[in-house]
Amino acid sequence: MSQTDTSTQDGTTTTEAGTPVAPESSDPVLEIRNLSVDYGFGDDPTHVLREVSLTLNRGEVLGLAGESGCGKSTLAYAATRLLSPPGLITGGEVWLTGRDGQRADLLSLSDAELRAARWRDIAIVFQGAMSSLNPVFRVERQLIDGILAHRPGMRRAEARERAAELLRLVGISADRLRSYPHQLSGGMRQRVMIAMALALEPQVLIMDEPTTALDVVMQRQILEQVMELRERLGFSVVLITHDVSLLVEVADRIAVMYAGEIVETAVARDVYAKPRHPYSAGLLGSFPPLHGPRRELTGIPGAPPDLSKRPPGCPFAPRCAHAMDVCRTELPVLGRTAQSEEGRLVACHLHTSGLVNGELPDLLAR
Amino acid sequence: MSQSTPVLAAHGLTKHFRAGGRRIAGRPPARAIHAVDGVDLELHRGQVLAVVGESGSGKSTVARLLAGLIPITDGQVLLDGAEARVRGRRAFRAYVRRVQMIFQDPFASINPVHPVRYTLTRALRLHRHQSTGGKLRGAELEAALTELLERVHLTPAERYVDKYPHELSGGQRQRIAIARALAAEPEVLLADEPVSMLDVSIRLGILNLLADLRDRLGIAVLYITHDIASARYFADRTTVLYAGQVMETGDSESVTQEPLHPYTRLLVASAPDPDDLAGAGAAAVRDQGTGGEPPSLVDPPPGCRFAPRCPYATDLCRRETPALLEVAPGRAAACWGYSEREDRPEVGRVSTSSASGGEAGA
Ligand SMILES: Nc1ncnc2c1ncn2[C@@H]1O[C@H](COP(=O)(O)OP(=O)(O)OP(=O)(O)O)[C@@H](O)[C@H]1O
Ligand SMILES: Nc1ncnc2c1ncn2[C@@H]1O[C@H](COP(=O)(O)OP(=O)(O)O)[C@@H](O)[C@H]1O
Ligand code: SF4
Ligand code: SF4
Ligand SMILES: [Mg+2]
Ligand SMILES: [Mg+2]
Repeated sequence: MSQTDTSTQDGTTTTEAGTPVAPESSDPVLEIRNLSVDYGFGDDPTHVLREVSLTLNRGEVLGLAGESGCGKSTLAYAATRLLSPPGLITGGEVWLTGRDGQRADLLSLSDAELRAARWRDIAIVFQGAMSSLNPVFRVERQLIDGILAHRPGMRRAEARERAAELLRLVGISADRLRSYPHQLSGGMRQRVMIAMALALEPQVLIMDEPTTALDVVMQRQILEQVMELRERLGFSVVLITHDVSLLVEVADRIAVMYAGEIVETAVARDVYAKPRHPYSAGLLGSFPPLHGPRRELTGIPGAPPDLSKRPPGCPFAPRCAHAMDVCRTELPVLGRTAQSEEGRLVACHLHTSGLVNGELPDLLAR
Repeated sequence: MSQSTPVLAAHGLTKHFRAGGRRIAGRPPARAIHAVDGVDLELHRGQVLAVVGESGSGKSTVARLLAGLIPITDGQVLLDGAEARVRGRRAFRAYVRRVQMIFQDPFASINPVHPVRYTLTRALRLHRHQSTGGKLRGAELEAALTELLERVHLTPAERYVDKYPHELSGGQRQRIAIARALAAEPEVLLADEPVSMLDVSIRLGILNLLADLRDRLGIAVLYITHDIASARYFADRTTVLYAGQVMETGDSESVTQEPLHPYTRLLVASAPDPDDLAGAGAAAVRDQGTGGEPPSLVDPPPGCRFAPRCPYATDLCRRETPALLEVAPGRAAACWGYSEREDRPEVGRVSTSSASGGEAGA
């Protein structure tokens, strides 16, 4: 496996467009580079993901936010090569760094190599996973099957013990092993799914809307448990949800997606306190705050674009209060913020120096 | 509390479902799931009442009982102060003309094979033919359709009236569902999680629409949600349900900012709070008794239903069920901590307003 390292001496990587990009982290475990995905066969496929780049650092919780249909699940599936037709990966790399320090591009591995790597290193809890437990088998059997698929040599009795241990890890007493899925509450079923994912001893746990169907109390319980396990078992997390206020609290870093592109990445608190992209600001203004003074909710006018009829220029332009002429013709690329902040990237012409003289709307200049 | 007669009220509303289906000979008699147990609530004209609570707390069951969709086990439903009897088709139809329900899933609740025009025309004819002395048709029908679509802010109406559901976004579909409910010119809208299946950017629009219908048409709205923050913003009053019983009720700002009942405090502390820099919310949740799941509703034991999870629970709590006590004007909580009993538990007062502002920002 060759290491395609395009880093320059100062640690910045250079994209094809020549825009300088902030230094990649010191210790990446998963690096997605220029990943593109189309849906549909034939001459007119829909470009759903366009050159998405994203890095997950070791031990980190990376939040992926955005309205539904913006490509969050597609990104999770594509990055783990679980995408099925009509989805097609049309370009990009996904580098996984193993516990032994070996790096591999998952997209260029053979199926056999991939299977080994995926089972060992990345686990996904799918959106709506709690309804994907097989209703006719007890939880025990489903967990044991998962464990044995991962460790083919293991004895059944040992696997049973491990199943009980996994359940306890996610806060369910082992006597629930004998339950059928319908005998468990939604929250418990979701925990069982997380236990199944943990059976793979992953380095990376991707959770796609893991708590959207649950109420806030259960949501917090489950996420806190995962965060605690992350420290104890040492894995990194990609948490996908449209609930940015949840991400602000739980994630270390947040990537905001819009129409198949990452439009902003930053430390979670910064996204909340100082959003730099008009879309991020709009997302945050869509949630009524429970605490603190009542504030006016701005929301975001309009709806996300139909990805099959994407206009040229910035995909957010039809909904953006700050759209300029250039926004309708030129696609903004992910680059430094107007304030040149360390570790922050934004894809918006307002930040491209020369276009506006560092004049940002107040909301984005905090 | 408002002095006017509530347009819709429930007293001691109770629903028991039979557990485990049909009775099997030789087995003990079927046990009952106490989904809703003695709930009181009042809906007033031009007000939104939020009902919040975790999954399984009985919110949808309350809505279905109020909508007359399932029979009541015990208790009363009063429409304009008169007991509503919804037995028989005609009585039912007269009732639902005044009390309409909107469901959580705008994809499932509208027939996908018909265009908007069909769905709305049907609703208009069903509820309005008597008032116009015949079938609504022609220009009169067109005008009524346009008016309905404009009420839910789908303008210009021509753009939407001939669309099929699959051609509409989730938010637009929910607006059609609301328009259909409005066709009956109801006095009460029962909205069961009307936005939880919708995208964040669309939610706000639907909630603003409900608030607007309340203000302009004076409709009483029951807003069911598990998102207590949205209750703060859109509901005048909030009732907190737990395991089929009312735990607390009051004006929304007070209930969310100074929750009295230990369960309400747990709910408030659990909600995502981006301003919570110190992780105080997480800590509070641990203190507020997050360990445990909602209790089984099958033949629940006496005592406070929250006792198994409550950090303040005493023997009294486990022995006797607390009544909903008036704690302050317009505010009530079902917790022994607010009683005058000598053996009452000490629940303290957690003020959430201290968590607001930016003073923790250092
Ligand atoms: N038809 C039924 N038969 C038996 N039990 C039922 C039935 N409908 C509801 N229940 C039970 O009644 C209780 C309350 O259910 P309900 O649907 O009202 O909860 P909810 O508060 O609306 O929850 P959610 O937030 O998940 O929508 C639950 O324990 C549920 O399992
Ligand atoms: N199997 C599929 N066939 C065609 N289009 C799809 C398929 N799955 C998803 N899409 C489209 O891809 C886009 C991104 O979807 P998805 O990744 O599921 O978004 P998210 O998870 O952010 O809600 C949407 O426009 C969706 O309609
Ligand atoms: S590039 Fe232009 S349209 Fe796009 S978000 Fe920035 S200002 Fe708005
Ligand atoms: S009555 Fe007792 S158990 Fe119930 S909430 Fe109050 S203190 Fe807790
Ligand atoms: Mg998704
Ligand atoms: Mg419900």
